[in-house]
Amino acid sequence: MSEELYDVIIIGGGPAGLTASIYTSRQGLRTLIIERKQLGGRAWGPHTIENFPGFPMGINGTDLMEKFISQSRKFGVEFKEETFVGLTDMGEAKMVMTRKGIYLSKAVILTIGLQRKSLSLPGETEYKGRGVCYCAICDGPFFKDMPVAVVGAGKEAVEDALTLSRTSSKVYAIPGSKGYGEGFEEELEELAQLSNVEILEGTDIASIEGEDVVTGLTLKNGPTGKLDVNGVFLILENVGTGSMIKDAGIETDTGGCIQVDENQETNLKGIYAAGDCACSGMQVVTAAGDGGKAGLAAFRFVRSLKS
Amino acid sequence: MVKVEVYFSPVCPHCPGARKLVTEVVSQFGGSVEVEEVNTYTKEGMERGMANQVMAVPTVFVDGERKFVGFPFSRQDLEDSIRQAQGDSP
Repeated sequence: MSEELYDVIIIGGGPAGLTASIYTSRQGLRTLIIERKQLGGRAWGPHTIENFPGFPMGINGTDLMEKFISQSRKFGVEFKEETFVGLTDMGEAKMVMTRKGIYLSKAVILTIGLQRKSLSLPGETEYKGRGVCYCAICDGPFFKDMPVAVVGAGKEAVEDALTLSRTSSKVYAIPGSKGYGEGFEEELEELAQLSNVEILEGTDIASIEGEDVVTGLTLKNGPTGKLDVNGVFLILENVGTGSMIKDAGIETDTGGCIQVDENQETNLKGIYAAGDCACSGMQVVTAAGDGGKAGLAAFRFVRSLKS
Repeated sequence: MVKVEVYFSPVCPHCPGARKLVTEVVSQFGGSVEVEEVNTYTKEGMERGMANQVMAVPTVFVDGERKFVGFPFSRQDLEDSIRQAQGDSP
């Protein structure tokens, strides 16, 4: 275990966490960000963000996040690329556990984002990158003139099926037993009209099969049988937070969103949450705003300990 | 010489991150590691990808062995893969 006691540990390096770190470190608090993969989180990437204030022409997600990161570094924030696995509130000190170590801090800000819920289908992990894909626009060209399946619900699933219908010979659209959902009837109607699309409602996937690469699917809960496909595009469901949060005694709502008060504090004193994990609007601007609030609240909390 | 191949496409939102990270990490190894980027949106790139069973981008090979599919993957994992390949290199 590290002997060092941080003032604030921020778990997650997306826009909420980076903004929180600017506020805490600028106030002289020793701040550590633990991020398991890419600083910038979901906002980081080549997509254009058109609704973040101050950029009337829009800004590339990577460029925007690099500005956030640069500002954090400017105020001396420390970074560790480690995977968060647990949190224990010991009162005035909080213990943060990662796969590589244990760290102590006076306050913790959770900005862990959304967890994408894997469908956990047999064959999903085995065939990832060998027929199992998660991005239609990225990987659709590999399945030109081949049959594919799009598994999942929501607007994203419908849009991906439409994208693939333009290049694949056949698209099986499989929303699952709960159906596609509501709010995008126009897109769904367009999909249903396509001659090379077959929407299979009321059925689920039992397994993904293949040899070196995917060769098909087995269905359940509906018209049972097998489908011959070369590609399976999985649309993952966004869920709130994982069991680590619940195990720490932090309250969430039924959707997994961490419950916070007007200062972004959870039910545990000195532990805060901001951004997508607190379901605060799912936008970069709301994540940054709530990250700032959490940072300010954490600063006031740590200052109160010193006095 | 260890070779890192990055299969990408220009419309893949995850590919720029992978390419950037690979470039940064490879530069740490001086001249002992080389990078080749393969654009699967070209006929040649797609044919090469299909010949190597690349079915998603980004896909990263280290010395001919598929190591990463999709992004993000961590800097540490990439460094470890390259060092492992260097250890195996004659």
